[in-house]
Amino acid sequence: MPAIGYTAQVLALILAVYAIVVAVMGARKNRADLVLSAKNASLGVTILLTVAVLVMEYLLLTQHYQTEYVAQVTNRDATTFFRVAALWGSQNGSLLFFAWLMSLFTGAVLLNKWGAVKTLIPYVMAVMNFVLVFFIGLIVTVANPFAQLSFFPADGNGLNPMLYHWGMVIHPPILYIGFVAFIVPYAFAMAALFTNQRGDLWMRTTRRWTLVAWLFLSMGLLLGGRWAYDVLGWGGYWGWDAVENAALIPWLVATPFLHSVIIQENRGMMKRWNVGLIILTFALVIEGTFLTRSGVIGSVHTFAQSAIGPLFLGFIGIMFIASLVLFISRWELLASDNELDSVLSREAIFLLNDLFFIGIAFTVWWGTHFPIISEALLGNKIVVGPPFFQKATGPLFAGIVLLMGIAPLMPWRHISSKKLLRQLTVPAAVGVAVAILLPLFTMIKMKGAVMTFAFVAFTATVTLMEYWRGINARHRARSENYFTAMVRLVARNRRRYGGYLIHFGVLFATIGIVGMEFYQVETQQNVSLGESFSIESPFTGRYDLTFEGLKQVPGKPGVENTVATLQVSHNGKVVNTIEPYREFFVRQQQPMTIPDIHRQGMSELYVIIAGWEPDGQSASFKAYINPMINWLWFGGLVFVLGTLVAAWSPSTQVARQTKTAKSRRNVVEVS
Amino acid sequence: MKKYAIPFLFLVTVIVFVAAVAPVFAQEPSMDAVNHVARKLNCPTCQSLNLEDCRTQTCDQWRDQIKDLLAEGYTEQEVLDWFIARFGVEVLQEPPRQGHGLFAWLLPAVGLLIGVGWLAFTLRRWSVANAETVPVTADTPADIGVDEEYLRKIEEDLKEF
Repeated sequence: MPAIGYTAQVLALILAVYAIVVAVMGARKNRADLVLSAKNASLGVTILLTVAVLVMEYLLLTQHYQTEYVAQVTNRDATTFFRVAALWGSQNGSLLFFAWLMSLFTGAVLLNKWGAVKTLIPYVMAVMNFVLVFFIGLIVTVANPFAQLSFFPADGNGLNPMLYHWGMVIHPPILYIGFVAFIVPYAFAMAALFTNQRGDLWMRTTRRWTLVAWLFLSMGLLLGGRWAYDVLGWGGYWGWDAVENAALIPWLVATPFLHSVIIQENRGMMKRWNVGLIILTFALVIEGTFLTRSGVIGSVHTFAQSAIGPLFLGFIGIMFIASLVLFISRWELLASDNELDSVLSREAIFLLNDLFFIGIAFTVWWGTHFPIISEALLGNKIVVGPPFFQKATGPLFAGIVLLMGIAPLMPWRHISSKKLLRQLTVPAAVGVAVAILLPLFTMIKMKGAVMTFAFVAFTATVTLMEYWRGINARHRARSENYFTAMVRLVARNRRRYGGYLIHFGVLFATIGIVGMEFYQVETQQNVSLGESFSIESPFTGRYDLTFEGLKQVPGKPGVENTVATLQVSHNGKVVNTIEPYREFFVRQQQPMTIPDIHRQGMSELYVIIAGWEPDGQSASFKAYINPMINWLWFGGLVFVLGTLVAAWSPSTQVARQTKTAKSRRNVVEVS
Repeated sequence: MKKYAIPFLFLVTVIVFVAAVAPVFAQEPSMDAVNHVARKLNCPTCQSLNLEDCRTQTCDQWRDQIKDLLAEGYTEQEVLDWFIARFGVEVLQEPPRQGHGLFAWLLPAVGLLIGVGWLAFTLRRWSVANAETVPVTADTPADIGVDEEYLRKIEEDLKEF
């Protein structure tokens, strides 16, 4: 059975190489038969990798421990669910999984009807298969998931304890989909460069693919944060850990891409910028995979020892340099159709927005790589922890919240300062009012928090007004009632109003983040049985927690749970009993601290066990009050909903948009 | 001499008493005080966790060390220095703003400055009046895919507003 899986991988590799050669030949010689053959070969890669994945799942489910990977990630205790999920539980399997997902996207692209951009497809195939060849090459050579042991072990090691959580099980596939799906806009951009196309057809036709990629990446980040909050037990949702950052950095580059694409579509500007951004996004996706897979973060030395690291680095280098060479050789072709008319225009604000995003992306990238860079170049490893990232990126994030409110007020091309000021009056008044009233009447007095909330209020007002204008216009013009007007308004221009919904999501999430960053309180106390300790926050009032007992409870197979019972009183009144616990994974000798939560409106009391005396008579607990944390999760939901609205545009609408945008363009497209 | 005997004995008694009782009254640092310092240090064994949040045994020992130092009267900065002296700046969560650590802070700032310069340059270059650009007919807002009549309505609405 493992031989079948391995053979499928080898054949997939051969077919992928064949597809590259034949696709390019077919396009050069204009031979449809060759292109068709390349297409079939590409689909063959998808099918073969599917076979390999199915074989791997079969081995995992039947506990074929002679397969090294199976022994590494499962054991007798594992449930079916975690056996299936073990496919992406460790390096070799997750590389197979990654390659397979990527091949699914290749397959989906090829099965789609592309109409106007059909001429790009041979090159798209070549680029996609080029990337696939690398990943399949890895699992065929240095990271073969089907490698066999010389003996048949009685049992396996089992998954890393941290992964035994539904969030951790669905989070990697979602993140991976976000990662691999960016191959679609990247491959089309490259193909457009190959074929000397100067238009934005590649961008328009792949818009929804890009949005889907972005949506999955965003969901992956959100789920990762939620998982950390629920399972890791340090009271937070984002630790600026290198693995987290590896997923955040491409997102920080893809987001300005999604925005400046709008400029290119409307104004024919920023063509170079957009191609540059998509190349950078995809390069960062591969680099992020490299960061998390090569062990380079731990130390430069583990990196040098692993076979996979240098190969990855080589591939990123080749891909990035080749893309850049191609990009620069088409530099003149990508000249802007239009000039900027005024600094007071949406174009200029979008540019500023791009600068902020890229600034954050660079800062996070630099901070994440600094330990490696300092160790390699300065011989002195300097750790860069969360305080650095918070201080360095916080102001830029606040700036983006503000720009999010200014940009919708700016029309394309030019706005007179008088007109802009008039438009700014109401939202700015709301913002200023919030900035004055918050510190006067609430406990929110810290400068950074007050300023961010003022920005949030400003931007929320602008966004609401944008909705209101559209709804009211429809209401008057078509005499629709307000609700119908709203639904139709959004339905008619999903991209715009979906986008505003995403902005609302970001604003809600900002409230939660500010609450956590500025006003989280925590305490750690040692208490004996029956004793209590208290924690207090101006947001929630005072909680008294009484330690009522500690018990040993059998947990999942191979896990011992120690559960503490605490009675929660809020301002003197008993409101709840919570049971934080510690899981101990016997085989791996590794503990996990699982928090329990008492919710109060949008805020939460979050408690974990920090330790206990063997006799169970006393224990120490860590309690946090996380003010407004639920705004973050709520914002995340709104964000996802907004993205779905924006991505859900029927193809007729896309065609119509292309037409209107073209007619509005004042330079004829030469493609 | 005799007249000094009583005060002397009294003094000795007081000193002995104070010496015996002092440790009881000496404030043991609270866990929160320890955590406050631990937050600024790295867990020595796992990656990217701070010492406060890590639950491994090594970290317990390190936190005990912090507690002992605080009990001896070390200030927060002195405790941090104690750890730096033994384990290097690598123990700090936040890179120091001197020596090599300065690079961590400076480069993003430099990058941002370059970005601002680039932005100013781009805006200038774009704004240079270009005769080839066809003049615009109207100040068209960004709506795409919205019919003209609807646009006009919004424009009217805006004027009223």
